[in-house]
Amino acid sequence: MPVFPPSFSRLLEALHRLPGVGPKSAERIAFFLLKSSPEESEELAEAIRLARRSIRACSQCFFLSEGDPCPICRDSRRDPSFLAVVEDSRDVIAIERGGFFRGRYHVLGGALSPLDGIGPNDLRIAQLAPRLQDGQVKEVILAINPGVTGDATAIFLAKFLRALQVKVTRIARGLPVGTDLELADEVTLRLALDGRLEV
Amino acid sequence: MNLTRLTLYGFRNLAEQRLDFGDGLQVICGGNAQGKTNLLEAIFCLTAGRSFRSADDQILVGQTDGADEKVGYRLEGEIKRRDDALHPLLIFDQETKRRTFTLNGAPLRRVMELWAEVKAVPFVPADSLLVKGPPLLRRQFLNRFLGQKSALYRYHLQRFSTALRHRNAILKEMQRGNRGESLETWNGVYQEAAQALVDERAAAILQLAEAAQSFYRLLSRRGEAVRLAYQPASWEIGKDLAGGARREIAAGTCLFGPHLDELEIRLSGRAARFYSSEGEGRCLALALRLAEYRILCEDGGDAPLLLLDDALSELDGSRREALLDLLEPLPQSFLTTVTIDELPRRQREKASIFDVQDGEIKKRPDPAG
Repeated sequence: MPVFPPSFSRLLEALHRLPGVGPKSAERIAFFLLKSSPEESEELAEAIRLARRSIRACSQCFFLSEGDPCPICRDSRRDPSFLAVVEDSRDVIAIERGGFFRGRYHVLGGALSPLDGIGPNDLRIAQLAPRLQDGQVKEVILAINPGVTGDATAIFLAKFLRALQVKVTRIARGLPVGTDLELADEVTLRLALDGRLEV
Repeated sequence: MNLTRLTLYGFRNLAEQRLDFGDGLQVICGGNAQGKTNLLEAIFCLTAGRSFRSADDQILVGQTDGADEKVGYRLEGEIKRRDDALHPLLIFDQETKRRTFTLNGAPLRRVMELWAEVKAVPFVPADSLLVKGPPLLRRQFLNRFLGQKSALYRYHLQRFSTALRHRNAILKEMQRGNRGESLETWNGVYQEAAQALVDERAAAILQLAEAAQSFYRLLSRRGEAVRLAYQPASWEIGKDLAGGARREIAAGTCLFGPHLDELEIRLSGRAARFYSSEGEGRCLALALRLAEYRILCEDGGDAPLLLLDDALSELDGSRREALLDLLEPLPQSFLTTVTIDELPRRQREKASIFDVQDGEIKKRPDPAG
């Protein structure tokens, strides 16, 4: 084991806790920071501090935002009749990148996962109800990941929302665009067949 | 599919070496404890991602003898299929206790991804437990068989095992007196995956039973009636959800589901698990394995590798010939034996023969030159 100065070890440990950073990457980043100018490290530290201080979850949709409500919730050109429910803020960014969805969002903050101790009360499910009260939302679109935890979350939400008497849909799953049928795997094909549409 | 090349390092007692295999029957010949079964195990590991004997990679690492301390094991193969070739590589690092599995250079996230590409059916003497052992072994047999047969089965099996762990976590919480608000939701996900597994198992067992009966008749002297009865433990979850859940909460674990199914094997109307002799058990197990092999072949695509460990010793002369006749037309099969004299001259002349002594494997020169 190499013997690092204690402050360096502390930096390594802090970096290693970041997602996707292994011990080797942590070392590379730490050496880079020490070799670069002090201003560069200060700039990084300040950027982290500022982001932590000024970014909050929007009180309506829980998307990350500097102001409250967030720009999407404030935007009057958005169509209030569609509400897309997503697991994570990153999903909002993915959908926004497409630029085709003109409704608003609701960020759950995860998916049901009893193994990790995440139940319905740990997600922002109850906070959906007040958003539907004024009757402006005509359709709630569950833009939730396919997969066991996503499916369970969607089933739970569908039941919860049906009691509030609103139309609930879930995004389709099936063939990725640009793939030939013969190249698709059997499972995807099967799910695509199950979810076929009348034309 | 044919295993054309195998490179070994640090695996059990096997020496570091490269082996080239041919088409048809490959006979692995050697005395007891020389390494015959270890060679089949190495081939199986490379095709299934795990051993048929041990779940512990540490045990698979060769003995250390001081100077030549092994740092893990490494298995590399070349498998020719009808249209292409595959290069599986399995490395276990003793120090980090990590295994890495790559196929044609690309890492595999789950070993089940391998099952879609490479198929192999083993038979080892311990397979008599398949008949005489606990239900778990028969479920593992079904999962491995159907996992190789169907991509949908692999999909549902993976979903089911995840749903099972989540549902167990809820039931454990409820046992402690906490509310399980999402139990009903998870029942739905759980039941859907469970039903898919049960349906596929039920259909496959019908196919399996028919093939197993015909192989058993071929291999056993008397050829009694073989019946496979599927006993799913899943039906109650749909039928009596509330009552079931009460018992499950008390137990803190899932009590219904395909992870508790039984595949009952009956021989002449009696449960083979309790009433069959050791010899009958082995013969039945071999019949089941051959049935698995035949059904995997019938699905089209490349025939699996067939790995038979000491399959001849229980059989008398004519049954032995019947088994060898079965193996003869196969693209490639491996058979271990203590002595080559167990094979009739005709088969001996056609086969590739490898002698195993103290972990060293040598190909016997072709008598024809």
